[in-house]
Amino acid sequence: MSRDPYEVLGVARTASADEIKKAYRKIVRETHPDLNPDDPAAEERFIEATVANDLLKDPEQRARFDKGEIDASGAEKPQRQYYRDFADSPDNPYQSQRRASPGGFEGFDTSDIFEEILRQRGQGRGQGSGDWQFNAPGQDRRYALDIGFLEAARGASKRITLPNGESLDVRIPAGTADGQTLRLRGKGEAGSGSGPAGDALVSLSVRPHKLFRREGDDILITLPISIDEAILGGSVQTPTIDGPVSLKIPEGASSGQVLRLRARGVQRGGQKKPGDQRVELRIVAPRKIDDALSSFMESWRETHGYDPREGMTS
Amino acid sequence: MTGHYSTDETVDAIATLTHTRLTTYIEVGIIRPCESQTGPVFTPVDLARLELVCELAESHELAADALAMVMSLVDQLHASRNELAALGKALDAEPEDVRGRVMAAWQASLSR
Repeated sequence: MSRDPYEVLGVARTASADEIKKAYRKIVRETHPDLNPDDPAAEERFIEATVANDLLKDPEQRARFDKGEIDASGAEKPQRQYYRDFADSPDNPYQSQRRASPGGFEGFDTSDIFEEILRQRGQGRGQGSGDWQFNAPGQDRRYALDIGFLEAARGASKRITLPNGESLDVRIPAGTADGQTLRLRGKGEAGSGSGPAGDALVSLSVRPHKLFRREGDDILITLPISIDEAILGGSVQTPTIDGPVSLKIPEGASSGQVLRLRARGVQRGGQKKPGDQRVELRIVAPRKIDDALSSFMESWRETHGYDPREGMTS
Repeated sequence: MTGHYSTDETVDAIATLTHTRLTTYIEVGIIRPCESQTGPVFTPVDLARLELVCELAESHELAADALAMVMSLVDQLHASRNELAALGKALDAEPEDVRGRVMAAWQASLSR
């Protein structure tokens, strides 16, 4: 149940629009999760205050609330991802990578803060170098690339060609995951003065495959088999990411049963063993049921009927 | 697919964002889109950042230049936290007596 929005913002019911705005600004300053990353209680207050402000800043909504036509609950977005959720990631493109100076930890003084601001603004306006007399590393350049499922699983060489004709060659390592960012050292903007060049950060998005799915280094596939293959067992061909291989179906296989093909999954660099391919069987009835099959089944059922749902309905 | 968002998709995803605003934020360097074969695209981190920027712009009526400074400070706050966390992690891996000495020296320099 939502609290009274006036109480949340700490204003009187007669407060003017300006007083409400001021009260909300103060709470934002004190509680915005991105400005107060260490205070878990702040997020709750922030959301509460935002909902309250959304309601009260609109004169029509406020009047309806005052008349009791609507309650205090606003349209609260569930599970919002805040910027701080990304801020700690080494992939965060807005985090300039500071390397610790070999001399020690002292020396981060406040002038760095303003140099950084000037540098960002300068480069934001596209004057990467020239105007500044100090040495600074070049800015990172960001790229985005969509790749196929198999390219991500097995590794590939790709070239990004930008609309302006520039291009960048990217080697995709085997076992690359969706959403991963590759860092190509020194492929960003040139540095100022004697500063080193920035890096290229390539954000990867992996297109799904029509047959395969991935779970870590394991490849998952659902393989249809016929009734006779399920009953009698036998060898069938299954696709893998490296081409078809033969798979032994055990006698009396059921739908949902999972067979494991060892080392047919993804081989990531630095891992000793590749993952497996897990094959989930799915029994598929023949397209057309002919008389021979149905009459055989009828006579078989009379003498050999069994109940796979035993105990489920009692 | 984690997804890359086109300019239109990004503007649609954030209620208070407009094409004009997005262009300005890119010009002043608050947002740096990825370059791709199809033109500029945005990732989930850009969307989260844009949401924060738009909120600050709305609630405090901040102009783009002021926002650029605020965001630069936010970024540096996060950078410092990361560095502090990394230092803490490195220290935690040290033996008890090293940790004790560093902690004592740290306390002493804070109260100096």
